[in-house]
Amino acid sequence: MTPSVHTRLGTAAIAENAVRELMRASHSGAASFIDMPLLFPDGSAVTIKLEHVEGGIRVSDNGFAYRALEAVGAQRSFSKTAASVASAAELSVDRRKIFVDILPEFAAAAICEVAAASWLVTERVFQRLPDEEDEEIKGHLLERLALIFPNSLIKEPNLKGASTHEWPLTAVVHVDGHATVFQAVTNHMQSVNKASTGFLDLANLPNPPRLVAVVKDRDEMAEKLLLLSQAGGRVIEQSQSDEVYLRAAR
Amino acid sequence: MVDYSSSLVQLKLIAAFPGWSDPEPETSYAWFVAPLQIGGVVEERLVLQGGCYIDQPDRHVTFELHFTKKPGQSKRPLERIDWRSRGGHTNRARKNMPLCPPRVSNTHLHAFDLNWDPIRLRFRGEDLPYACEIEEQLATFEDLRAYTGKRFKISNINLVSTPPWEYLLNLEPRL
Repeated sequence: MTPSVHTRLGTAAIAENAVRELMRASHSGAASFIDMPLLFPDGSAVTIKLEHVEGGIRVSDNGFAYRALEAVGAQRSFSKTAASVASAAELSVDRRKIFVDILPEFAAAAICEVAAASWLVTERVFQRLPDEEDEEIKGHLLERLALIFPNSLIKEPNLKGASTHEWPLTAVVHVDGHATVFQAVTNHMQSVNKASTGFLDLANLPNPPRLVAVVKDRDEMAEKLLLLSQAGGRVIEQSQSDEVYLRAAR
Repeated sequence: MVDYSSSLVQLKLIAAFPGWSDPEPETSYAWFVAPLQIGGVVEERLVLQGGCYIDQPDRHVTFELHFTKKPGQSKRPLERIDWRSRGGHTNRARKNMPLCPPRVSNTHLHAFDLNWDPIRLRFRGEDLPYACEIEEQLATFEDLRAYTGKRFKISNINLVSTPPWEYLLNLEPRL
């Protein structure tokens, strides 16, 4: 690690500096805002708004979690996710914001709870966002398969496994009367888990299809390859030759 | 793959400025989304978006250049300018992070170059997590608008009107 000016500071000074950076209050009209020591995905601080309401004060996130989701086009996920998070924390939600109305002496706890809920809503939704790499591998794979298996390619079908759960797949092709599933898989754990679980379920069918995971770089995947093969899948790289794709499907 | 960087450097015109929206009753947030044209052609997905809070005059304004959502693809912000924002900005320490300070002031630029990984040819995060200081002094909305036009290469940026801010007195009860 490259030494910085701060390396020479004691931990007490570093801690004091960090605390000063972590929270701050500002005021606008009759409302006040507090930047909390939690970050939204874009690097802005989770911010809480305080304003008077009849009989007490309203502690809200002023719609900032909604705005964070809107920034990536995921605002439709707000109402369901926020309702679930707020309900567990006994907070309220409207179309845009998470809030609670309380007596002023309970402000500190409410500020923490609303801030945590606001942060959690964005985290949950961002974790579910479609991955760009996933889209890229999927697009590339479908182009390759259309050239190699022009007559039997089925793009993005859903297939029921032994559990009867329907799995969304990248593609299915038929070779010599037998089905082969090609599934695009990224290096992210979520993508590997989803593919592995789907493969296990499909492998338990009475007449299971062949299962092929297509990855960008096998070396990058390391131990995650094992999860895919344990689940009954062959693993090939997207850039391999047509021969490899044909062999994997037979 | 969309050529994001060329979308940034090309000269653009606002094809139509729709005006600021009515404020949301829950938050007082107002916004606009303006289509952009390049070389006389209105781009299918590239837009300028502005956002502000009507009850927070002369602060917390955002201008963003982004590709709109389409089936199978997320909305993709390319660059964003935050002016006097609440919540400031913190650059997170991550492996292979770009060269930027840990914290920047409330007026900052989420620059494309900071958020684009030129080796893996992909964005470093979904919502431009890295930002740098803006060296120019942006004292007024007009300064911000002029800077936005220069940065995003939008020559008719003056079509964007000043937000219809409400200047309220401090009505906090005296105890």
